[in-house]
Amino acid sequence: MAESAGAGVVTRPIVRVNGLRRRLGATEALAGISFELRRGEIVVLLGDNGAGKTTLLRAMSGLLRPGSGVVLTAGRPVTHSDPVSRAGVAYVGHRVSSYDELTVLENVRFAATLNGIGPADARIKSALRGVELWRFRSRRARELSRGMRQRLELALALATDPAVILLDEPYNALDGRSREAVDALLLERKANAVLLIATHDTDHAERLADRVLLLQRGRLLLDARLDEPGRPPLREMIANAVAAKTPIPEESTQPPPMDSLARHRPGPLAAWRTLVAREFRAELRSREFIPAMVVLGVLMLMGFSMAFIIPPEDAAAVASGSFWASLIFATILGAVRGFAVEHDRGTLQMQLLAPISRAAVFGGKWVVNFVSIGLVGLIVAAVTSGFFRVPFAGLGMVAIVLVAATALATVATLYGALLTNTRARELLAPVLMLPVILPIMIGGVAVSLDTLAVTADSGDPPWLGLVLAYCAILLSLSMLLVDFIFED
Amino acid sequence: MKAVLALTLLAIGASQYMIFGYAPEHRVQGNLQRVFYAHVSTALISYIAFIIVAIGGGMYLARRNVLWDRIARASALIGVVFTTIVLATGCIWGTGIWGACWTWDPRLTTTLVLWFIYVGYLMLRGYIDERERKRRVAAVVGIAGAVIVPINYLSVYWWRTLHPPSTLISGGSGGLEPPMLQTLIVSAFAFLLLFGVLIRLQARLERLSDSVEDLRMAAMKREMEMEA
Repeated sequence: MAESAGAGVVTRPIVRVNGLRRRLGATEALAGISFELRRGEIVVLLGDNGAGKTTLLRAMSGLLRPGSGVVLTAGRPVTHSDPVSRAGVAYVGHRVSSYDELTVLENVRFAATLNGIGPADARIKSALRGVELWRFRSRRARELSRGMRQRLELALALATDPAVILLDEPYNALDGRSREAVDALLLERKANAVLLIATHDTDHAERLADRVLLLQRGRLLLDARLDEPGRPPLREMIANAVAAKTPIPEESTQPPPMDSLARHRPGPLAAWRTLVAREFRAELRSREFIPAMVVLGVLMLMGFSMAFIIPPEDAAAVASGSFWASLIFATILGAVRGFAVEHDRGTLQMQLLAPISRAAVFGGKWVVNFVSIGLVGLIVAAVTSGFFRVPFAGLGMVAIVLVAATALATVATLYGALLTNTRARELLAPVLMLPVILPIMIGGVAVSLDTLAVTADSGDPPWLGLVLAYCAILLSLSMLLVDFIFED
Repeated sequence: MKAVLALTLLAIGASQYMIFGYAPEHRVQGNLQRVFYAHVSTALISYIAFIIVAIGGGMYLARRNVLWDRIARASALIGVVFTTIVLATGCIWGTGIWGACWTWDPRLTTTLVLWFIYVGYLMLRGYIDERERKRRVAAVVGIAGAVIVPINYLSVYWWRTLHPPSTLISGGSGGLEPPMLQTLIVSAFAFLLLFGVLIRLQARLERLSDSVEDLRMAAMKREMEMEA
């Protein structure tokens, strides 16, 4: 098993799946799967709905933490917390992971750059030509048909120059001609890579595959080569395996050495810059968050200034409280949506698959949240001056708004990431975040009042420093916990 | 367990006797001061409870042993109950001494913030269906929430506050007469034992609840298989 492959070619395995188990609820989605993959193979993964195909591919890509067992690529365990282990592995799932507001070329450049390939690299053009999307490169992804979008997903994967390509039902939205084009592309790629393709289509598998794996209820029932002479038809092999119901035994011997793998990775700064640049480009085009946050903040201020009868001597105190309440609600409703929107649209997957640390993903969103909250804070502060007729926009205010924005961005990014896949998250976000934000609000109000000379008390603690210290503690905790937050 | 339960009941009985029969009446505050023994004891235990939530969460993330999650959740629930007692007894005392049940004093405010953080922690668990994910997310929220515990404790030193400073730490007996200090120690010990018993019972309840969920899921799966 160690050093063999079909057609007389002898290669070492590049992927080894060993005793992989994973439960999803009460179901054992993977019940001890073991197999190896070698460069130069197209392996088709067959199985009914719920057999465990998607779970297996997601575990192999590093998106899903196995319950037990291990996936090794070139001898290194693939884990969600080790970015290096994900380099050289590409996964195309059921959902689109490209960004609506970016063009086809921008999407592929983004994926390639996150995987350590330069934005002008020839592989980007080659991948787009391969899926016949080069002439549509300036079109926004949202303007593509479903089939074109599916091909774009393939281009996103191929542009990263992967040696292990995991494809989950890649033919679903494709017409006959596109299927043939994709088949030709995959056959071309197999010289330098291994492809594991999950599909229901047995006839297509028989035409395309060098080898077939059959999963049933999380067990591997068949692992057979299709390029051996005199083999029975695939349907007969499947029927025999299903009737026998004998799982392929888990590997127990000492594994032999594995094939090496070229792992491209971006530097941490380059990854961060790429993520931040994409965020700002998307916001500039979609204008989805900042304008809504500003309008909400101003509306709340208007509500406060109309709801209270404010004696002139109390105007500064009421203005201060109203400003912070407005900014905090705008933050909760706006900035917390960043990760949630990416999760809902499927785009977060592209970042989580890339060989970059989860901290970089968190950091990218944090920068955008910081800038958004800071900007909204400064605009709402200027409006507060007008509504309440107090000097609310001086340098002192700019300083406290920016300090508070660092802390608010940390809380919003942390809870935004935690609540991505939670029911009623719009309701739950304020419930969870407000108590944690309250110390920031208390500090903000105190500094504002000092700035407006409403209270000038030397006995008060150094609020600005306390808010910064609070932010530093929360940010450090977030960095420590970020791998667990994005585990699935 | 029965021995611990018996010891807990004995300690509670002893503390009640000491609160109402042994500790002297406060010279200024009168009998109302006796609420202080339950107030301070439950406040101390709620700190311990919330620190256990963070430790349980951290251990769960590191080891993935469900026992740690059960301990964390049980501790959060009992911590919330004890914090409710802290707020209620504080309100009773404040009404008599300050003339107000509630004031936006830093210690009171941060105690209420703590209460909301762990109510949120318990609510969050009801909003996530997938058990492994629920435990993981709750662990992170429990760890992040514990940041408020030292802020709450230090609030009486950082800010000028109406709330009296720490009784046990500041200056030996903190100005308490020896019988009062002895009563406080016995009361805190009784509440600590009660906390231990409640954690044990609640964690067991969590385990049974998980087993019921497992059985329900297994029955559903078998039903689906039979239909197929």
